[in-house]
Amino acid sequence: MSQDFTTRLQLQLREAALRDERRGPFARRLAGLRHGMPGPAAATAVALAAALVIAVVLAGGLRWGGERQVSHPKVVADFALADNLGFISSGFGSVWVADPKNLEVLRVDPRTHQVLTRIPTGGDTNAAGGDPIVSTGAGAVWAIARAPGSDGGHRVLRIDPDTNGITARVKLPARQAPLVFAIQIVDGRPWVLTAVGAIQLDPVTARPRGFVAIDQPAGEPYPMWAIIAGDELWVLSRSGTVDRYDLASARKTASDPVPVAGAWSVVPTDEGSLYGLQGGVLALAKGDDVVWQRQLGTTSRIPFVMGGTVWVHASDMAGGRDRLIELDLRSGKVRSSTGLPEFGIMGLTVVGDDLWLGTPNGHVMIVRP
Amino acid sequence: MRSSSRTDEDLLSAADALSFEEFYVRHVDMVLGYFARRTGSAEMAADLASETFAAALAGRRRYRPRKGAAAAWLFGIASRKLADAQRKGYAERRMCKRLGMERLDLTDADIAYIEALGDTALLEGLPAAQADAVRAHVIDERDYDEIAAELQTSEAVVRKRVSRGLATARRRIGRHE
Repeated sequence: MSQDFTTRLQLQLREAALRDERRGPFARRLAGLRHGMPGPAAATAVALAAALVIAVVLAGGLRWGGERQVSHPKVVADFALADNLGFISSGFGSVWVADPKNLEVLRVDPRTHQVLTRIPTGGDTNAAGGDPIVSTGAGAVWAIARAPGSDGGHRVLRIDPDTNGITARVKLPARQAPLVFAIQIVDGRPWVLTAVGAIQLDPVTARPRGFVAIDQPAGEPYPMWAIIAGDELWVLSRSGTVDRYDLASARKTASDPVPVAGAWSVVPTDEGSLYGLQGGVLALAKGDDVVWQRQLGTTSRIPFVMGGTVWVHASDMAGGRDRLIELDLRSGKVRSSTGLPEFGIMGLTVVGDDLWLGTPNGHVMIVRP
Repeated sequence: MRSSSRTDEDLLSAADALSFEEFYVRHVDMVLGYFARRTGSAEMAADLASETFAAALAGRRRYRPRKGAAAAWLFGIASRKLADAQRKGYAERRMCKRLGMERLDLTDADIAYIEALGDTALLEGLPAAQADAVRAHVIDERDYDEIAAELQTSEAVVRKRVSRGLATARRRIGRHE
Protein backbone atom coordinates (compact mmCIF):
# COMPACT_ATOMS: atom_id res chain seq x y z
CA MET A 1 0.00 0.00 0.00
CA SER A 2 1.41 3.37 -0.95
CA GLN A 3 2.12 6.01 1.64
CA ASP A 4 -0.16 8.99 1.88
CA PHE A 5 0.80 12.45 0.72
CA THR A 6 1.71 13.88 4.10
CA THR A 7 3.99 10.93 4.84
CA ARG A 8 5.72 11.13 1.48
CA LEU A 9 6.22 14.85 1.92
CA GLN A 10 7.57 14.20 5.39
CA LEU A 11 10.13 11.79 3.94
CA GLN A 12 11.12 14.26 1.27
CA LEU A 13 11.65 16.96 3.87
CA ARG A 14 13.62 14.59 6.05
CA GLU A 15 15.97 13.75 3.21
CA ALA A 16 16.34 17.41 2.31
CA ALA A 17 17.05 18.32 5.92
CA LEU A 18 19.64 15.58 6.22
CA ARG A 19 21.32 16.69 3.02
CA ASP A 20 21.29 20.22 4.38
CA GLU A 21 22.97 19.07 7.58
CA ARG A 22 25.69 17.32 5.65
CA ARG A 23 26.41 20.25 3.39
CA GLY A 24 27.50 22.68 6.09
CA PRO A 25 27.04 26.44 6.26
CA PHE A 26 29.40 27.46 3.46
CA ALA A 27 27.84 25.20 0.88
CA ARG A 28 24.40 26.35 1.96
CA ARG A 29 25.34 29.94 1.37
CA LEU A 30 26.69 29.19 -2.06
CA ALA A 31 23.56 27.31 -2.96
CA GLY A 32 21.41 30.18 -1.79
CA LEU A 33 23.33 32.64 -3.90
CA ARG A 34 23.12 30.49 -6.97
CA HIS A 35 19.41 30.15 -6.72
CA GLY A 36 18.86 33.74 -5.69
CA MET A 37 16.57 32.63 -2.95
CA PRO A 38 17.05 34.57 0.25
CA GLY A 39 14.15 33.05 2.10
CA PRO A 40 10.43 33.17 2.37
CA ALA A 41 10.18 36.82 3.26
CA ALA A 42 11.93 38.01 0.18
CA ALA A 43 10.40 35.33 -1.96
CA THR A 44 7.05 36.86 -1.32
CA ALA A 45 8.10 40.27 -2.31
CA VAL A 46 8.84 38.74 -5.66
CA ALA A 47 5.22 37.71 -5.76
CA LEU A 48 3.71 40.90 -4.49
CA ALA A 49 6.06 43.48 -5.93
CA ALA A 50 5.22 45.07 -9.18
CA ALA A 51 8.42 43.62 -10.44
CA LEU A 52 8.62 41.22 -13.18
CA VAL A 53 10.32 38.23 -14.44
CA ILE A 54 10.17 36.54 -17.74
CA ALA A 55 12.32 33.55 -18.32
CA VAL A 56 14.06 32.97 -21.56
CA VAL A 57 15.30 29.86 -23.18
CA LEU A 58 19.04 29.81 -23.36
CA ALA A 59 20.17 27.09 -25.64
CA GLY A 60 23.39 27.89 -27.37
CA GLY A 61 22.68 31.57 -27.00
CA LEU A 62 19.73 33.71 -26.22
CA ARG A 63 16.86 33.29 -28.61
CA TRP A 64 13.65 35.23 -28.75
CA GLY A 65 11.39 33.65 -31.31
CA GLY A 66 14.47 32.80 -33.32
CA GLU A 67 15.75 36.38 -33.51
CA ARG A 68 19.34 37.28 -32.77
CA GLN A 69 19.67 39.82 -30.02
CA VAL A 70 21.83 42.87 -29.71
CA SER A 71 22.42 44.32 -26.29
CA HIS A 72 22.68 48.09 -26.00
CA PRO A 73 21.90 49.04 -22.39
CA LYS A 74 24.70 48.67 -19.86
CA VAL A 75 24.85 47.68 -16.24
CA VAL A 76 26.53 50.70 -14.70
CA ALA A 77 26.36 49.72 -11.04
CA ASP A 78 25.84 46.72 -8.82
CA PHE A 79 25.92 47.31 -5.08
CA ALA A 80 24.54 45.76 -1.90
CA LEU A 81 22.04 47.54 0.31
CA ALA A 82 20.79 44.78 2.61
CA ASP A 83 20.49 41.02 2.95
CA ASN A 84 17.21 41.04 1.02
CA LEU A 85 15.32 43.67 -0.91
CA GLY A 86 11.64 44.02 -1.65
CA PHE A 87 9.59 46.75 -3.26
CA ILE A 88 11.49 49.66 -4.76
CA SER A 89 10.16 53.06 -5.74
CA SER A 90 11.66 56.44 -6.60
CA GLY A 91 10.49 59.86 -5.57
CA PHE A 92 11.39 63.03 -3.71
CA GLY A 93 14.97 62.88 -4.96
CA SER A 94 15.59 59.48 -3.44
CA VAL A 95 15.04 55.81 -4.01
CA TRP A 96 12.92 54.05 -1.40
CA VAL A 97 13.48 50.36 -0.90
CA ALA A 98 11.87 47.78 1.36
CA ASP A 99 14.23 45.76 3.51
CA PRO A 100 12.04 42.72 4.24
CA LYS A 101 14.45 41.15 6.68
CA ASN A 102 14.56 44.11 9.03
CA LEU A 103 11.13 45.45 8.01
CA GLU A 104 12.53 48.84 7.23
CA VAL A 105 12.14 51.32 4.43
CA LEU A 106 15.56 52.40 3.22
CA ARG A 107 16.01 55.85 1.76
CA VAL A 108 18.86 55.71 -0.73
CA ASP A 109 20.79 58.53 -2.35
CA PRO A 110 20.59 57.93 -6.11
CA ARG A 111 24.01 59.54 -6.69
CA THR A 112 26.12 58.01 -3.95
CA HIS A 113 24.03 54.82 -3.55
CA GLN A 114 24.34 55.22 0.21
CA VAL A 115 21.49 54.51 2.61
CA LEU A 116 20.54 57.91 3.99
CA THR A 117 17.87 56.79 6.44
CA ARG A 118 16.35 53.60 7.75
CA ILE A 119 12.69 53.90 8.67
CA PRO A 120 11.32 51.03 10.77
CA THR A 121 7.84 50.03 9.68
CA GLY A 122 6.96 48.46 12.99
CA GLY A 123 5.92 45.34 11.16
CA ASP A 124 6.30 41.85 12.46
CA THR A 125 8.55 39.48 10.55
CA ASN A 126 6.64 36.55 11.91
CA ALA A 127 3.18 37.86 11.23
CA ALA A 128 1.11 36.40 8.48
CA GLY A 129 1.27 38.44 5.33
CA GLY A 130 3.75 39.95 3.01
CA ASP A 131 6.86 42.02 3.24
CA PRO A 132 6.73 45.79 3.49
CA ILE A 133 5.19 47.41 0.45
CA VAL A 134 6.60 50.74 -0.61
CA SER A 135 5.33 53.32 -3.06
CA THR A 136 5.78 57.03 -3.60
CA GLY A 137 3.34 59.72 -4.63
CA ALA A 138 0.46 61.86 -3.39
CA GLY A 139 2.92 63.94 -1.41
CA ALA A 140 4.35 61.12 0.64
CA VAL A 141 6.09 57.80 0.78
CA TRP A 142 3.69 54.98 1.57
CA ALA A 143 4.47 51.71 3.22
CA ILE A 144 2.38 48.80 4.35
CA ALA A 145 3.52 46.25 6.87
CA ARG A 146 1.91 43.55 8.90
CA ALA A 147 0.97 44.62 12.38
CA PRO A 148 2.45 42.65 15.27
CA GLY A 149 0.78 39.37 16.08
CA SER A 150 0.05 36.38 13.97
CA ASP A 151 -3.00 38.04 12.47
CA GLY A 152 -2.61 41.63 13.47
CA GLY A 153 -3.71 42.91 10.09
CA HIS A 154 -2.03 45.39 7.82
CA ARG A 155 -0.99 48.89 8.74
CA VAL A 156 -0.41 51.63 6.25
CA LEU A 157 2.28 54.17 7.03
CA ARG A 158 2.48 57.64 5.57
CA ILE A 159 6.06 58.89 5.59
CA ASP A 160 6.90 62.56 5.18
CA PRO A 161 9.84 62.72 2.76
CA ASP A 162 10.94 66.07 4.22
CA THR A 163 11.48 64.71 7.71
CA ASN A 164 11.52 60.94 7.15
CA GLY A 165 8.98 60.82 9.95
CA ILE A 166 5.85 58.69 9.95
CA THR A 167 2.95 61.11 9.97
CA ALA A 168 0.17 58.54 9.97
CA ARG A 169 -0.07 54.90 10.90
CA VAL A 170 -3.48 53.41 10.15
CA LYS A 171 -4.70 49.84 10.41
CA LEU A 172 -6.55 48.71 7.32
CA PRO A 173 -9.95 47.05 7.76
CA ALA A 174 -9.29 43.34 8.07
CA ARG A 175 -12.23 42.34 5.87
CA GLN A 176 -11.05 44.63 3.09
CA ALA A 177 -7.39 43.73 3.36
CA PRO A 178 -6.86 40.05 4.17
CA LEU A 179 -3.89 40.14 1.81
CA VAL A 180 -2.34 43.26 0.39
CA PHE A 181 -0.67 43.22 -3.00
CA ALA A 182 0.42 46.73 -3.78
CA ILE A 183 -0.13 50.46 -3.42
CA GLN A 184 -0.89 52.46 -6.52
CA ILE A 185 -1.02 56.23 -6.67
CA VAL A 186 -3.73 57.28 -9.07
CA ASP A 187 -4.47 60.95 -9.73
CA GLY A 188 -2.92 61.96 -6.44
CA ARG A 189 -4.82 59.39 -4.46
CA PRO A 190 -3.29 56.30 -2.89
CA TRP A 191 -5.08 53.02 -3.51
CA VAL A 192 -4.29 49.78 -1.75
CA LEU A 193 -4.87 46.69 -3.86
CA THR A 194 -5.98 43.74 -1.80
CA ALA A 195 -7.21 40.24 -2.37
CA VAL A 196 -10.82 41.42 -2.19
CA GLY A 197 -10.75 44.85 -3.76
CA ALA A 198 -9.16 48.27 -3.67
CA ILE A 199 -9.09 50.68 -0.74
CA GLN A 200 -8.78 54.38 -1.36
CA LEU A 201 -6.74 56.23 1.25
CA ASP A 202 -6.89 59.84 2.28
CA PRO A 203 -3.58 61.31 1.06
CA VAL A 204 -3.14 63.32 4.25
CA THR A 205 -4.49 61.16 7.04
CA ALA A 206 -3.96 57.76 5.36
CA ARG A 207 -7.39 56.72 6.55
CA PRO A 208 -9.55 54.61 4.24
CA ARG A 209 -12.02 56.74 2.34
CA GLY A 210 -13.61 54.27 0.01
CA PHE A 211 -13.63 50.68 -1.06
CA VAL A 212 -14.26 48.98 -4.37
CA ALA A 213 -15.21 45.39 -3.73
CA ILE A 214 -14.45 42.70 -6.26
CA ASP A 215 -17.12 40.18 -7.17
CA GLN A 216 -15.83 36.86 -5.95
CA PRO A 217 -17.38 33.96 -7.82
CA ALA A 218 -17.92 30.77 -5.90
CA GLY A 219 -14.71 28.83 -5.75
CA GLU A 220 -12.62 31.87 -6.57
CA PRO A 221 -11.65 33.38 -3.25
CA TYR A 222 -9.03 35.63 -4.81
CA PRO A 223 -8.66 37.14 -8.23
CA MET A 224 -5.75 36.20 -10.41
CA TRP A 225 -4.59 39.77 -10.76
CA ALA A 226 -5.73 43.32 -10.15
CA ILE A 227 -4.45 46.69 -11.26
CA ILE A 228 -5.79 50.23 -11.45
CA ALA A 229 -5.70 51.92 -14.83
CA GLY A 230 -7.08 55.41 -15.22
CA ASP A 231 -10.34 55.54 -13.35
CA GLU A 232 -10.92 51.81 -13.41
CA LEU A 233 -9.93 48.78 -11.41
CA TRP A 234 -9.07 45.89 -13.71
CA VAL A 235 -9.45 42.42 -12.30
CA LEU A 236 -8.36 39.26 -14.03
CA SER A 237 -10.58 36.45 -12.80
CA ARG A 238 -9.69 32.81 -12.73
CA SER A 239 -12.67 32.12 -14.93
CA GLY A 240 -11.00 33.88 -17.83
CA THR A 241 -12.53 37.34 -17.79
CA VAL A 242 -11.23 40.82 -17.25
CA ASP A 243 -13.70 42.62 -15.04
CA ARG A 244 -13.56 46.38 -14.84
CA TYR A 245 -14.88 48.48 -11.98
CA ASP A 246 -15.48 52.19 -11.95
CA LEU A 247 -13.51 53.66 -9.07
CA ALA A 248 -15.94 56.51 -8.53
CA SER A 249 -19.10 54.44 -8.26
CA ALA A 250 -17.46 51.16 -7.16
CA ARG A 251 -19.63 49.37 -9.71
CA LYS A 252 -18.62 46.76 -12.22
CA THR A 253 -18.85 48.27 -15.67
CA ALA A 254 -17.57 45.48 -17.91
CA SER A 255 -16.61 41.84 -17.98
CA ASP A 256 -14.78 40.76 -21.10
CA PRO A 257 -13.37 37.37 -21.97
CA VAL A 258 -9.59 37.08 -22.08
CA PRO A 259 -8.60 36.39 -25.71
CA VAL A 260 -5.57 34.30 -24.80
CA ALA A 261 -5.30 31.13 -22.75
CA GLY A 262 -3.44 30.87 -19.48
CA ALA A 263 -3.39 34.56 -18.57
CA TRP A 264 -2.26 35.34 -15.05
CA SER A 265 -1.72 39.08 -15.32
CA VAL A 266 -2.93 41.98 -17.42
CA VAL A 267 -1.48 45.44 -17.81
CA PRO A 268 -3.58 48.00 -19.72
CA THR A 269 -1.51 50.01 -22.21
CA ASP A 270 -2.16 52.52 -24.97
CA GLU A 271 -1.68 49.73 -27.51
CA GLY A 272 -3.98 47.23 -25.86
CA SER A 273 -3.93 44.80 -22.98
CA LEU A 274 -0.59 43.22 -22.24
CA TYR A 275 -1.09 39.75 -20.85
CA GLY A 276 1.38 37.63 -18.96
CA LEU A 277 0.62 34.00 -19.72
CA GLN A 278 1.64 30.85 -17.99
CA GLY A 279 4.70 29.22 -19.44
CA GLY A 280 6.59 32.43 -20.03
CA VAL A 281 4.50 33.94 -22.78
CA LEU A 282 3.76 37.63 -23.18
CA ALA A 283 0.91 38.72 -25.43
CA LEU A 284 -0.64 41.99 -26.53
CA ALA A 285 -4.33 41.99 -27.41
CA LYS A 286 -6.79 44.56 -28.60
CA GLY A 287 -10.29 43.46 -27.83
CA ASP A 288 -10.57 39.92 -29.11
CA ASP A 289 -7.58 40.24 -31.45
CA VAL A 290 -4.16 39.06 -30.39
CA VAL A 291 -1.68 41.56 -31.85
CA TRP A 292 1.40 39.58 -30.94
CA GLN A 293 2.38 36.74 -28.72
CA ARG A 294 5.90 35.84 -27.74
CA GLN A 295 7.33 32.84 -25.99
CA LEU A 296 9.87 34.20 -23.56
CA GLY A 297 10.84 31.24 -21.46
CA THR A 298 9.44 29.03 -18.79
CA THR A 299 8.05 31.53 -16.29
CA SER A 300 7.00 35.12 -16.39
CA ARG A 301 6.12 38.06 -14.20
CA ILE A 302 4.69 41.49 -14.66
CA PRO A 303 6.16 43.56 -17.47
CA PHE A 304 7.12 47.15 -16.79
CA VAL A 305 5.64 49.40 -19.46
CA MET A 306 7.11 52.82 -20.25
CA GLY A 307 5.43 54.50 -23.17
CA GLY A 308 6.05 52.30 -26.16
CA THR A 309 8.62 50.13 -24.41
CA VAL A 310 8.22 47.01 -22.31
CA TRP A 311 10.97 46.00 -19.91
CA VAL A 312 10.99 42.49 -18.58
CA HIS A 313 13.43 40.67 -16.37
CA ALA A 314 14.28 37.29 -17.82
CA SER A 315 15.83 34.23 -16.30
CA ASP A 316 16.50 30.74 -17.40
CA MET A 317 15.55 28.22 -14.77
CA ALA A 318 18.00 25.68 -16.17
CA GLY A 319 20.99 28.01 -15.86
CA GLY A 320 22.63 31.03 -17.39
CA ARG A 321 22.59 34.67 -16.49
CA ASP A 322 19.44 36.63 -15.90
CA ARG A 323 18.73 39.33 -18.45
CA LEU A 324 16.81 42.56 -18.78
CA ILE A 325 14.88 42.49 -22.02
CA GLU A 326 13.52 45.49 -23.83
CA LEU A 327 10.55 44.92 -26.15
CA ASP A 328 8.71 47.16 -28.53
CA LEU A 329 5.20 47.33 -27.17
CA ARG A 330 3.49 47.71 -30.53
CA SER A 331 5.26 44.90 -32.36
CA GLY A 332 6.60 42.70 -29.58
CA LYS A 333 10.04 42.76 -31.14
CA VAL A 334 13.03 42.60 -28.85
CA ARG A 335 15.10 45.74 -28.91
CA SER A 336 17.81 44.76 -26.48
CA SER A 337 18.92 42.11 -24.06
CA THR A 338 21.28 42.90 -21.22
CA GLY A 339 23.06 40.30 -19.13
CA LEU A 340 22.72 40.97 -15.41
CA PRO A 341 25.35 40.27 -12.75
CA GLU A 342 22.85 39.13 -10.08
CA PHE A 343 20.12 36.54 -10.03
CA GLY A 344 16.48 37.32 -9.47
CA ILE A 345 14.50 40.52 -9.20
CA MET A 346 12.34 41.95 -6.45
CA GLY A 347 11.39 45.28 -7.91
CA LEU A 348 12.12 47.72 -10.69
CA THR A 349 11.84 51.48 -10.78
CA VAL A 350 12.92 54.34 -12.99
CA VAL A 351 15.46 56.75 -11.51
CA GLY A 352 16.26 59.56 -13.90
CA ASP A 353 17.34 57.88 -17.10
CA ASP A 354 18.26 54.65 -15.37
CA LEU A 355 16.44 51.53 -14.31
CA TRP A 356 17.09 50.29 -10.78
CA LEU A 357 16.51 46.58 -10.18
CA GLY A 358 16.39 45.25 -6.63
CA THR A 359 17.46 41.65 -6.19
CA PRO A 360 16.68 38.91 -3.69
CA ASN A 361 20.22 38.94 -2.35
CA GLY A 362 19.96 42.59 -1.38
CA HIS A 363 21.70 44.13 -4.36
CA VAL A 364 20.65 46.93 -6.64
CA MET A 365 21.66 46.77 -10.26
CA ILE A 366 21.48 49.95 -12.28
CA VAL A 367 20.89 49.57 -15.99
CA ARG A 368 21.38 52.56 -18.24
CA PRO A 369 19.37 52.26 -21.47
CA MET B 1 0.96 14.12 17.48
CA ARG B 2 3.30 15.89 19.80
CA SER B 3 5.98 13.34 20.37
CA SER B 4 7.92 15.54 22.74
CA SER B 5 7.35 18.38 25.11
CA ARG B 6 9.52 20.71 23.08
CA THR B 7 7.85 23.87 21.89
CA ASP B 8 7.41 24.75 18.25
CA GLU B 9 9.96 27.47 18.74
CA ASP B 10 12.51 24.99 20.07
CA LEU B 11 11.91 22.65 17.14
CA LEU B 12 12.23 25.35 14.54
CA SER B 13 15.32 26.85 16.12
CA ALA B 14 17.10 23.51 16.28
CA ALA B 15 19.35 22.71 13.34
CA ASP B 16 18.74 18.97 13.18
CA ALA B 17 16.52 17.23 10.68
CA LEU B 18 14.39 15.37 13.18
CA SER B 19 13.33 18.53 14.98
CA PHE B 20 12.08 20.03 11.77
CA GLU B 21 10.28 16.81 10.97
CA GLU B 22 8.44 16.99 14.25
CA PHE B 23 7.55 20.59 13.56
CA TYR B 24 6.20 19.50 10.17
CA VAL B 25 4.06 16.76 11.66
CA ARG B 26 2.51 19.20 14.08
CA HIS B 27 1.47 21.67 11.42
CA VAL B 28 1.03 19.92 8.11
CA ASP B 29 -2.71 19.38 8.48
CA MET B 30 -3.33 22.99 9.39
CA VAL B 31 -1.30 24.19 6.45
CA LEU B 32 -3.02 21.85 4.02
CA GLY B 33 -6.43 22.91 5.32
CA TYR B 34 -5.48 26.55 5.02
CA PHE B 35 -4.53 26.13 1.38
CA ALA B 36 -7.44 23.84 0.57
CA ARG B 37 -9.97 26.37 1.83
CA ARG B 38 -8.43 29.20 -0.10
CA THR B 39 -7.70 27.51 -3.38
CA GLY B 40 -10.49 24.97 -3.56
CA SER B 41 -8.00 22.59 -5.07
CA ALA B 42 -6.34 19.67 -3.34
CA GLU B 43 -3.57 19.61 -5.93
CA MET B 44 -2.81 23.28 -5.48
CA ALA B 45 -2.99 22.90 -1.71
CA ALA B 46 -0.50 20.03 -1.85
CA ASP B 47 1.89 21.97 -4.05
CA LEU B 48 1.67 25.06 -1.87
CA ALA B 49 2.13 23.05 1.32
CA SER B 50 5.21 21.37 -0.14
CA GLU B 51 6.66 24.71 -1.16
CA THR B 52 5.80 26.27 2.19
CA PHE B 53 7.54 23.59 4.21
CA ALA B 54 10.49 23.58 1.82
CA ALA B 55 10.80 27.33 2.33
CA ALA B 56 10.46 26.89 6.08
CA LEU B 57 13.17 24.25 6.06
CA ALA B 58 15.50 26.41 4.01
CA GLY B 59 14.79 29.52 6.03
CA ARG B 60 14.50 28.15 9.54
CA ARG B 61 17.87 29.55 10.55
CA ARG B 62 16.47 33.03 10.13
CA TYR B 63 13.63 32.36 12.53
CA ARG B 64 13.97 34.20 15.85
CA PRO B 65 11.70 33.07 18.69
CA ARG B 66 11.68 36.54 20.22
CA LYS B 67 9.89 37.77 17.11
CA GLY B 68 6.87 35.58 17.62
CA ALA B 69 5.37 32.16 17.50
CA ALA B 70 6.82 29.60 15.12
CA ALA B 71 3.37 28.72 13.82
CA ALA B 72 2.73 32.34 12.96
CA TRP B 73 6.05 32.44 11.15
CA LEU B 74 5.07 29.35 9.20
CA PHE B 75 1.69 30.80 8.26
CA GLY B 76 3.40 33.96 7.20
CA ILE B 77 5.29 31.91 4.66
CA ALA B 78 2.09 30.11 3.71
CA SER B 79 0.17 33.29 3.09
CA ARG B 80 2.96 34.64 0.94
CA LYS B 81 3.07 31.47 -1.10
CA LEU B 82 -0.68 31.70 -1.52
CA ALA B 83 -0.51 35.29 -2.66
CA ASP B 84 2.27 34.37 -5.06
CA ALA B 85 0.21 31.55 -6.49
CA GLN B 86 -2.87 33.72 -6.81
CA ARG B 87 -0.82 36.24 -8.69
CA LYS B 88 0.62 33.74 -11.08
CA GLY B 89 -2.12 31.20 -11.25
CA TYR B 90 0.09 28.33 -10.26
CA ALA B 91 2.21 27.26 -7.31
CA GLU B 92 5.87 27.86 -7.76
CA ARG B 93 8.24 25.03 -6.86
CA ARG B 94 11.48 26.93 -6.62
CA MET B 95 12.27 25.94 -3.05
CA CYS B 96 11.25 22.35 -3.65
CA LYS B 97 13.52 22.22 -6.67
CA ARG B 98 16.30 23.82 -4.73
CA LEU B 99 15.99 21.11 -2.10
CA GLY B 100 15.69 18.35 -4.66
CA MET B 101 12.09 17.52 -3.83
CA GLU B 102 10.09 15.93 -6.63
CA ARG B 103 6.47 16.85 -7.16
CA LEU B 104 4.24 14.34 -5.40
CA ASP B 105 1.27 12.92 -7.25
CA LEU B 106 -1.91 12.63 -5.27
CA THR B 107 -4.02 9.55 -4.91
CA ASP B 108 -7.79 9.74 -4.67
CA ALA B 109 -7.44 9.15 -0.95
CA ASP B 110 -4.98 12.04 -0.67
CA ILE B 111 -7.37 14.34 -2.50
CA ALA B 112 -10.26 13.33 -0.29
CA TYR B 113 -8.19 13.87 2.81
CA ILE B 114 -6.95 17.32 1.79
CA GLU B 115 -10.42 18.39 0.73
CA ALA B 116 -11.74 17.25 4.09
CA LEU B 117 -9.12 19.36 5.85
CA GLY B 118 -10.39 22.39 3.98
CA ASP B 119 -14.02 21.66 4.51
CA THR B 120 -15.69 23.79 7.12
CA ALA B 121 -18.27 21.03 7.46
CA LEU B 122 -15.53 19.32 9.38
CA LEU B 123 -16.63 21.39 12.32
CA GLU B 124 -20.14 20.05 12.31
CA GLY B 125 -20.85 17.94 15.31
CA LEU B 126 -18.19 19.53 17.43
CA PRO B 127 -19.29 21.10 20.68
CA ALA B 128 -20.33 24.65 19.91
CA ALA B 129 -17.57 26.24 21.94
CA GLN B 130 -14.90 24.16 20.21
CA ALA B 131 -16.36 24.75 16.76
CA ASP B 132 -16.51 28.48 17.35
CA ALA B 133 -12.94 28.55 18.57
CA VAL B 134 -11.63 26.49 15.67
CA ARG B 135 -13.58 28.55 13.17
CA ALA B 136 -12.32 31.81 14.63
CA HIS B 137 -8.69 30.76 14.87
CA VAL B 138 -8.18 28.33 12.01
CA ILE B 139 -10.65 29.50 9.39
CA ASP B 140 -10.93 33.20 10.15
CA GLU B 141 -7.26 33.26 11.26
CA ARG B 142 -7.88 35.46 14.24
CA ASP B 143 -5.46 35.65 17.12
CA TYR B 144 -6.08 33.83 20.37
CA ASP B 145 -6.09 36.99 22.41
CA GLU B 146 -8.66 38.64 20.18
CA ILE B 147 -10.95 35.62 20.36
CA ALA B 148 -10.52 35.44 24.09
CA ALA B 149 -11.46 39.08 24.48
CA GLU B 150 -14.56 38.62 22.38
CA LEU B 151 -15.64 35.55 24.30
CA GLN B 152 -14.68 37.13 27.59
CA THR B 153 -12.54 34.21 28.56
CA SER B 154 -8.85 33.51 28.87
CA GLU B 155 -6.46 32.86 26.02
CA ALA B 156 -5.60 29.50 27.55
CA VAL B 157 -9.21 28.41 27.36
CA VAL B 158 -9.43 29.37 23.72
CA ARG B 159 -6.23 27.49 22.96
CA LYS B 160 -7.60 24.41 24.68
CA ARG B 161 -10.87 24.58 22.76
CA VAL B 162 -9.02 24.88 19.46
CA SER B 163 -6.71 22.03 20.32
CA ARG B 164 -9.52 19.72 21.38
CA GLY B 165 -11.68 20.67 18.44
CA LEU B 166 -8.93 19.93 15.97
CA ALA B 167 -8.10 16.65 17.64
CA THR B 168 -11.71 15.56 17.37
CA ALA B 169 -11.94 16.69 13.76
CA ARG B 170 -8.79 14.80 12.83
CA ARG B 171 -10.09 11.62 14.38
CA ARG B 172 -13.30 11.95 12.40
CA ILE B 173 -11.47 12.07 9.10
CA GLY B 174 -9.33 9.13 9.95
CA ARG B 175 -6.18 10.82 11.18
CA HIS B 176 -5.43 9.75 14.70
CA GLU B 177 -3.03 11.60 16.84
